[in-house]
Formats: sequence, structure tokens, C-alpha cells
Amino acid sequence: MTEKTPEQFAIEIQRAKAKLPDVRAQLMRIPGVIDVQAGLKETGGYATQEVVFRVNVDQKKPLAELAHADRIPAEIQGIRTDVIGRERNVRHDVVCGGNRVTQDTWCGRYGTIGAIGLATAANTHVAANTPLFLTNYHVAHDIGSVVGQANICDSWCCECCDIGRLTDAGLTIHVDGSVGTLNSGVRFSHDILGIGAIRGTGIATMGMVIIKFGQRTTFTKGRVVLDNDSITRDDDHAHFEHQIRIAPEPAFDKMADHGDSGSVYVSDVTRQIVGLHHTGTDEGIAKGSHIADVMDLFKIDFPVTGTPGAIPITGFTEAQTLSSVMALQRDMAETALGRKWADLFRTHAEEVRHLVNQHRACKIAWQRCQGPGFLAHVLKSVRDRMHQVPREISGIRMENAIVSMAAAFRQHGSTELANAVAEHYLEVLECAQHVTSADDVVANVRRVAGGLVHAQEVARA
Amino acid sequence: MSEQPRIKLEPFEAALLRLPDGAALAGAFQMHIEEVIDLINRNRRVGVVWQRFKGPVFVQEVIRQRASAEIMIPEAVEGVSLEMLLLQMADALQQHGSPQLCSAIADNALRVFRLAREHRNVAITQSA
Repeated sequence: MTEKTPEQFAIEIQRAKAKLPDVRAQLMRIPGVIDVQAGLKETGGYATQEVVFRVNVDQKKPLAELAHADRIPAEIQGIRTDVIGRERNVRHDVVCGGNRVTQDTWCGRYGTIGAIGLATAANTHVAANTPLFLTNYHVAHDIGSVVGQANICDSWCCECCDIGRLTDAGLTIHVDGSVGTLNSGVRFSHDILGIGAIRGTGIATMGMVIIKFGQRTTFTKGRVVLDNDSITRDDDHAHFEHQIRIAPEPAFDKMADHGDSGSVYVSDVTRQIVGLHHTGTDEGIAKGSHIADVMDLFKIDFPVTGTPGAIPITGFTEAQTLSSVMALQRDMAETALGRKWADLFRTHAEEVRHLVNQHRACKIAWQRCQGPGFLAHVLKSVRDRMHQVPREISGIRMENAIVSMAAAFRQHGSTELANAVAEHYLEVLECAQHVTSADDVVANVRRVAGGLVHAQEVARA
Repeated sequence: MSEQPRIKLEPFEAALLRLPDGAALAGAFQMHIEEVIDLINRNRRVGVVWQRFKGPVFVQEVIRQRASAEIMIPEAVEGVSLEMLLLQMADALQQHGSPQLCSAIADNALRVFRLAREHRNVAITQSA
């Protein structure tokens, strides 16, 4: 068979994509169809040269078991179809400095992984050269427990996204830090997002230009103004001596903010790690420990890698993914209703998580109404704005799922949760109407919030 | 289905038709009411929910007023709200009913719950 040229593939794919909206509308009506895409047919795990409509279904069934109306046509609009059953997807992400990290249920409080270092021979917790992630004590201090990436995941909690386990943590007069091992199979890089390769460690000195990548402020640049500062934190009264103080450079509003905790200070010139960030002021001043104190406490070292100044390609990909998540959070926070829901989520998240995981009736309701499936699709559409949330999964629509969970939480939840559900489930139901993406959710929240404001004004008048 | 339950429900259908978008709701009501009554009477789990959330008491309250020109559906009876009864019944019916009933609940749940909330005491004016 003659090999198709890239141009031929491009033309055929373009033709198929032009027909995709109609085909998707037609096929998504069939029960069990999760998604339809234009792509190449796979046979026996290998790509063929044929451009097809790839129809993802919940479960592949023999034709004999399907009613005629529920069968996927072999060909639509002159293009063949390829039916694909549910696949087991595993993580292929790369964990590196700058990633988000948490030990908090449902990612309520998060920090940053400073960098991935290596255990030294003096480390008594793990073997020499074991990769260790570094963050703050106040971000993760539950030694022996899992830590998660605190990122958007395909489930209802962060536990399934765990990347490792905390092995050591310390809050001393010099250091607010913790380290942990990575799970087997987790791929990692010593690079830092937005910064790239690091060149070992060095000493922070006054006047040194520092760069940093934190989860809240992303890439920032500042200058060391003190290298032997004393700090007492206002919130937990922790006191530190011999600390680094960094003021932002004029192009940056802040050097650090909440969520950046655990990120590392890197010399802009040498690309050496010189400090571990742990504290900040409202004005955006960053304060942190000297990296030598951290290395001494945790018996960790950071290798010399890459070429200084090399473009951190992987970093920007991740940053873009995060920016879409942050953009959605910002969109939601623009309406009073969105902010209210965020508050409600924070207040009741722990109980809801407990109910759907531990309470038999709620657990059954959650699974039966395809809760994990709908949530996964909505979260996927946050990451990939092209991803369509299916109208129904196994005959269940999102509205059915909301009714089921509202009924379960009102019956089995605490009085506070039951009252919150009673007060808000109609708004949730209204926002879920005709939702096919995370953008629709935001648009519906705006619409419903507008309606509520109008109703309140009418009531006041 | 015996004619008796249907006769009891006629005033509801008439009241639904008088609402602004009541025709669609009344249509869904007519289409699925036989299945709903059948599930209440024959499906143990649906029957339990109907009893637990005071469905018969709400119906009795309506029947008691049948001589009145205006029938009021109470906001709550014996500590159970009408909205709670509707929510729990919607959940039970979509679990145990046909796919068509499940789909009808998805289509109409918001309107029905909103009606129950906004018309705390649903007034059904009977024709003379």
C-alpha cells in the first residue's frame, strides 16, 4: 500500500473535521457514546492510514445485543467509523519544580514543589541518590502520608493524583521545609517550570538577582535585599533567623504570594538554587531559608543539569495548562454566585467527600448516577476547551445526577449540608442545563447569577 | 390502572395547564402518570420512599378539601416538605422507572421543583 503524504492526511482530516459537528450531534444521541473525534483508525494497537470517525463508547457490545437504533453506523457521510471501548488511562505527567503540591483534602491548601533533588549518603530515611521533592513544612508535614499534585484530576479527590509520600519535615529556627519520595513510575525532571535546568546550589548574597516559579505568581524576578534577616510569622508565630529577604524587580508586582510556598530561589545568572521560599508580606516581599540550611537538615542535594539559560520548553506547556484552570477559577470568581459556590465548596467539601467515599447510600448514588464520569468530563473540558461533556452517560443525564445527589445529601448529610443543598440545588440544576463544557458552566453561572440579582431587585422594589 | 387515581389527579392536570409553560409539563404528566402510579403501587423501593416522605398524607390533604372551590396543597405535612417529597420521589422514580421517565425527570425536574418552591401553597381552583 502506498504511504500517504502528510498533505493527504491533512486534507482528509480537515474534511472529516468539517463534518464532525453534525456527526457528533448524531452519534452523541446514542446511549453509551462518550465522544466522537476525527482521527486515524487503529488496528491491533497500530495506526493505519485510514481517516475515520473514532467513536468512544462506555462499553463495546456485540451487535446482537444492541437495538437497531443504538448501533453505530459503519459509515457516516462517506467516512468509516471506528468504535473504541473505554480505555485505562495512566498518568504520563512529569513532576518537576514549580508543580503544585498538597496534603490537604480536595486540594484546599496547596503549595509548590521547589525542585526535585537527590538524597545524599548521610540521609537516614532513604537510600543515597533517591529522588526527593522539596516543599515547605506548612504545606505538607504529615510524615508517611501521601502528597498529591493538587491539580485537576479525573476523579473526585486528590488522593488518586498522589505523586509520593512525605519522608521528613522540619520547622526549625532556620528552615520551614519538608521532603518526600516519588511513587514508583512517576516520571520527574530536575528542571523547574519557567526556569528550566538548574546548575546545583549556591549562596544567596545581597544584590543578587533571583528568579522563582511559584504556583500563585508563576515566574517572578527580584533582588536579595537582606541575607541575614530575622522573621516572626504573624499567623503561626514561627520564628526564623538567618533568612533571605527578596524585593520584586519593578516589572513584577510581587515576588511571591500565597501558594508559592515551597518554591526555590534561583540565581538568575548562575541558575543555582540559593534558597527555599516560605513566607511573604502583603506587599509581595519574599522571605525564605538559605538552601545550605535546607540541605543540611534534610540531607538532600541538587545536581548540576542542562545548560544554563536553555529554554524551558516543558515548563511553559505546564504553565499554559495551569493558566486555563486559573482562568476558569477567575471566571467563576467574577460573579457573586460563583464566589458563594466556592465558599460552599470549601465549607462542605470534606463532608461530601466522606459521604461519597464512605457512606453506603451516598456512595451507591454517586456511582449509579455516573457522578465520577460527569465530573471527569467537566474537568477534562477545563483542561481541553474542545472537549465536549456528553449529554448522557449510560442513559443518565447530568440533571438526573444532580437530583440523585441532592436527594442523597439532604437525606444523609449533616443539617448544615442538607440546608446548603436545599438552598442551592435549584441554582445548580439550572446551571447544569445544556452543559457541554466548563465554559458552559461559567456562562450558566453568569446567567443564573444575573437572574438572581434581577429577582432580588424586583423583590426589593 | 384503575380509574380512581386518575380522577383524583384531574384537578392537578387542570392547574398545570393554567401555568405559563404548563402545557409541556401537563403533557409529561399525562404521558408518565400511569407508570408513576404503577411504580408507587408495585415497586417496593419506590413505595417505601412514597410512604416515608408522606406522599399519601399530601394526597389525603388534597382529597379532604375536594369540596372546596380552592384546594391548597400544603407546604409541609408532619415535618416533611412538599419539595422534599418531590426530590426524593424524583430520585426513586429515575432509579426504578423506564429510560423515558428518567429522561422526562431530567427535562422537567427544575420546573417542578421551582413550582413547589415558589407556590408554597399551591392553589388549585376547581371549575364550578
